[in-house]
Amino acid sequence: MVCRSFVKRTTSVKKREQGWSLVSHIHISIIKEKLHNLITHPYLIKHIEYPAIDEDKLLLLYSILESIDISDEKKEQYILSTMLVQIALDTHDLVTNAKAGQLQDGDEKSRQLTVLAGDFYSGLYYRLLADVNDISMIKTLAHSIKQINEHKIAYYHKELEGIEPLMDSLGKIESSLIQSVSGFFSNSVLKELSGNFLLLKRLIQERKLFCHERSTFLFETLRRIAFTKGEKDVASKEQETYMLYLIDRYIDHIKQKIEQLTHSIPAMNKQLETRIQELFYEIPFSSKKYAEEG
Amino acid sequence: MKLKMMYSFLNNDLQIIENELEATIQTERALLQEASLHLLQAGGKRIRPVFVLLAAKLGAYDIHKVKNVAVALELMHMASLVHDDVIDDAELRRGKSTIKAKWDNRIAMYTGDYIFARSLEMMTKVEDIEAHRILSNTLVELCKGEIEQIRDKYNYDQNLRTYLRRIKRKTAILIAVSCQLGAITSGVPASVHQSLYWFGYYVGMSFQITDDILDFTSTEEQLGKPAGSDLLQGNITLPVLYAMESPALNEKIRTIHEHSNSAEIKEIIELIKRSDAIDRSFALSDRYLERAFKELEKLPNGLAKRTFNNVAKYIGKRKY
Repeated sequence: MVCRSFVKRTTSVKKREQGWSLVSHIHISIIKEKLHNLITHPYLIKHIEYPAIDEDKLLLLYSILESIDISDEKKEQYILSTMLVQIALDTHDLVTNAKAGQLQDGDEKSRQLTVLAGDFYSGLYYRLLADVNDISMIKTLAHSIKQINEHKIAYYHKELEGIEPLMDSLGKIESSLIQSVSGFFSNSVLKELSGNFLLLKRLIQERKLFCHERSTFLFETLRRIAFTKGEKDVASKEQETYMLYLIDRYIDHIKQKIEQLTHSIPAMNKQLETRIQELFYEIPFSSKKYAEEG
Repeated sequence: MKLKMMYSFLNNDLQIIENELEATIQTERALLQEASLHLLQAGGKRIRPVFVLLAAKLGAYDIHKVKNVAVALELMHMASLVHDDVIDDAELRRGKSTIKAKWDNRIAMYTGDYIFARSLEMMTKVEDIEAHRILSNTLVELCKGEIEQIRDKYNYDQNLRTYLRRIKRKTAILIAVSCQLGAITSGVPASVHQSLYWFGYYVGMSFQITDDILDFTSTEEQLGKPAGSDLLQGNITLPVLYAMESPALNEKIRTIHEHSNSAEIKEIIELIKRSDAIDRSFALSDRYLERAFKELEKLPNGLAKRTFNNVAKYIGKRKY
């Protein structure tokens, strides 16, 4: 017994010396600042939209990693590299299809640099992990990039037949990266929670956008799937109502899953818990009504 | 002798690389599969895999190990071409429609990112962390080079140093790293893979300068795009920099802007061709080749070294 506690003590001293700790000393604000420093390229920032940092994804990554028994430095590298990949992919989503001749001079340059900025951020993710000798995480994230782009093409090119595959692709596009990190540390509950949380967030955003614009890419795809040929270009009132009903049912279903999952996590990150509640408040009234009706 | 004849002894292994390239981009998504294959089947010189294999021949050569690097580098190159076509708004590449032209920019972006991811997955089969550090650093430098190229477009006040740094980042380091990584994979001593890096670097510099010259001297048929395209797009290459040393040409070249068209710059291209700029550019390309040959002298004799020598000569003398 004495020997065991001695071994335990010396191991923890060694870990402390190497910067290892079960208690995490990393801070989201510091990571965010480091991320800003990494993506700030003097020429790019003058000509392209400054990359948005998805704070929810940052928070999810933090929650996944905070209780893992690895050094704080490593945790930071994992969060930074995953966020760099996310920013790279989001940046490439901003590349438009307009012909060069139809663009203003500045817009063409901005598009060219947007392409390169995404490539640059991808390169940084690889370099960051190569610098800390982490080939397995390079592989994990690369696999996720592959998967996300497969789903993006299927979604964008309208290859998806059926509402389930559509929702599955949307979910993978939103959460594959974060899920791959939780999968890497075998945290199946947070993996599922991340997937549901990010899909819920996306559906709420899409719903809001649809109510505002009356037409979005997702709702157009949904209409193509839900209604067969012979339909007009513009969705009828009945179609709109039905599509909103479908989305609301999904929102409600995902919300229930998240509630179940949060109950199964004994010590959930408080910030994440609060954020989940905030997201629930963003759910539109009609979805809440379905939930109450059961 | 044709380029491919010089390394015909690698044919079996190059076929393995070709098969592996095709297998690596396999996906269940129909359009992604079509777009990736479209790019792969457009061919290309596969110069990076050739350099990887040749360099590996200087050590304990094992095609099943070295193929991972060769395939990863070629896929990275392919991914960058797909994105480059979006940047240049290019309709044709090697005489075939580009992905962005056949589908659109978004499909091209996603296809490029997909191929890049596959390339990294392939690369992670290489366990040597030094190889990853070198390659990842190269990728970042490569992007910086491309960003600089856009920054320097229509900038007639740039100097030779800016140009050389740009082509180093844009072209030379990936060829340098192809040689170095091939050697590292087959476990050669550091001194040998360093020499191979510099050999590849000098060859790459010479290659790009020659490419920039050919943009003026080749025909549209040979280039697969109109002659003088670089200048029309605002890329100030070595022949232009040399030509600008003549006050009369300097004045004329400075009139080229983003809205100029091929017809407007035709006369300027002719004047550049008739000036000494082309010969001086060839001379600088040759100087880089000489340095490449000097690096080769440090390597152990054998078939790989002789082939490197021939390939370098070919690259320096190519006409299109």
